[in-house]
Amino acid sequence: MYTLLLDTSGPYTTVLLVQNLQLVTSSVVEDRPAEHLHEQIQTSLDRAGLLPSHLHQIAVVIGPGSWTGLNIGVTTAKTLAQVLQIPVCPIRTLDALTESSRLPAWGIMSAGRDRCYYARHTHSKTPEMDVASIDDILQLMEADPETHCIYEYGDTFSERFCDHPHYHTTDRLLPESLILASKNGAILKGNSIHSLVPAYLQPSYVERDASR
Amino acid sequence: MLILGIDTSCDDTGVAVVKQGDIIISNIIASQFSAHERFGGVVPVIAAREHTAKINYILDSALEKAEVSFSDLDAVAVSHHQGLMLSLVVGVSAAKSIALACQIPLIGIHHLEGHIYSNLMGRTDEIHFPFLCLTVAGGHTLLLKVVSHGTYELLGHTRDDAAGEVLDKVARHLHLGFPGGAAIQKLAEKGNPTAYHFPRPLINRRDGEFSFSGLKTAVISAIDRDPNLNVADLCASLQQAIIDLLVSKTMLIAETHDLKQITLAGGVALNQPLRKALQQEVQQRGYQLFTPQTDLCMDNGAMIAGAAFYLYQTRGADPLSIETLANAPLGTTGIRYRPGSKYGKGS
Ligand SMILES: [Fe+2]
Repeated sequence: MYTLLLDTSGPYTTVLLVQNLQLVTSSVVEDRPAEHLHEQIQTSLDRAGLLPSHLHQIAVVIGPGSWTGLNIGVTTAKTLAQVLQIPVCPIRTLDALTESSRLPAWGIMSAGRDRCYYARHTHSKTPEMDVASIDDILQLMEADPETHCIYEYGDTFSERFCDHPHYHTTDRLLPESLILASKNGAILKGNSIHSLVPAYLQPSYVERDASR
Repeated sequence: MLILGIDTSCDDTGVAVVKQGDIIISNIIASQFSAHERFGGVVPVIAAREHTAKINYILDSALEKAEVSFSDLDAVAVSHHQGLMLSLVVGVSAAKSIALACQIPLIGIHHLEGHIYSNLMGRTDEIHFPFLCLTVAGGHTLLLKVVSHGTYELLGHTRDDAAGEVLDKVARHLHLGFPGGAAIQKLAEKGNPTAYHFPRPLINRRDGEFSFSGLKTAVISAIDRDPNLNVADLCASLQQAIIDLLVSKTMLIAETHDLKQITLAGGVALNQPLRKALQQEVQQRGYQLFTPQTDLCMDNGAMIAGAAFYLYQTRGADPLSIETLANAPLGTTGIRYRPGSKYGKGS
């Protein structure tokens, strides 16, 4: 059972080939997913001695993250799945971010303009992602004494956490976290794959950006 | 040879299946008009989002209409040069994925080459190299000598605004809605083209250089000055000025370079008064005018597949790492057709 896993949400383009949750090949390239992503996929398949038709599933990070990166990653995953007639597993950035950490953990990342995406991960249930100002999120965290870890994707708010003992920052999602997140994610099949869209900015932000 | 053509260069998602460069088996164009209408123009982030949300449905309908499946395709072609960066990458990502998954050649096409080839499709017996092509699309006003497949010579272009940009600016100034060109053309039908006299910049210069910014300024100031503005007359007069400029420069260049076959490419090829005016001049000289069939005038995937059929034979396939560029030099001679533009990354 081979899964192709794609992450174009941040400054690195990651392509993983995974067999039964074990990493077979990994390719990480900085910047420009529009040029690199497909070549990385082809090279990964070549290295593993596989043809595209040997893939059983595609997993893809759907966001939040780089606007253009996500469009490229999600379009690629959907189209490969459409041609190969295999399922797609969407991975949410914040789920992968906290996947291999001690729980409960908070995943955060900048949503622009001092706003922040956040999700609180526990053992019991999959959290909903939300957006709030960083001040509001800091208050929520203070009221949560159980917190083990705070992971930020990027370092926009690192100064706000400089003396926080459990704060970590990362500029890319790690292979083991991505693989774990793909195991726990939902599976889309058939025509329902077509409707998959990146979880980039909230629609209201897009409209507001557009009218500026 | 069965080629799938994809175009997501601007605000329309176009996918087509074309056989032997000539036979259009399907040509689906999904307009994003309603998503952009209330902003009065194409918003790049919204265009990219719409392409991402719809591209796979459009791929399905193009194949379904053509009654073929992915495994029947011999190659996939895509506009990878010229357009909105955020939009282009969506079509390019889909095309690369198809090339990879089907293990078929990927053919990158310059969007303007697609427009040029929209004339040649099905007419390779009638149109012979070299011929003249007047391309008036989006931000471009170009006179090109099409020397051979993939080789062009720039015989004229605008030094400032493109004709389409003037129409869009004026339409916005008059609050006529979007897209501006179509609104002005509609109003012009009911107006008097000689009511206002607008300048025709550079019309007496004996070369192919266009300039539209003086015309734009004159029209805008006429709108601001005249409290009893007759909008239909103004639109008709503006359209006439643009037609006069395009026709006189095109005929001048056709004569100086002895190009007796003239083709019209881009959205403006749908403009009836322009076609008529050109036809008249062309007939007087015993030349020939060609315009693309209607559904090939707008942005579409069929012209991309059509161009790819011919250009694949001379240029071959492209690697999966092929670059997407908002502005890119055109053809084997690397024509830089747009003054002041950066030819590289950018939106
Ligand atoms: Fe176009």
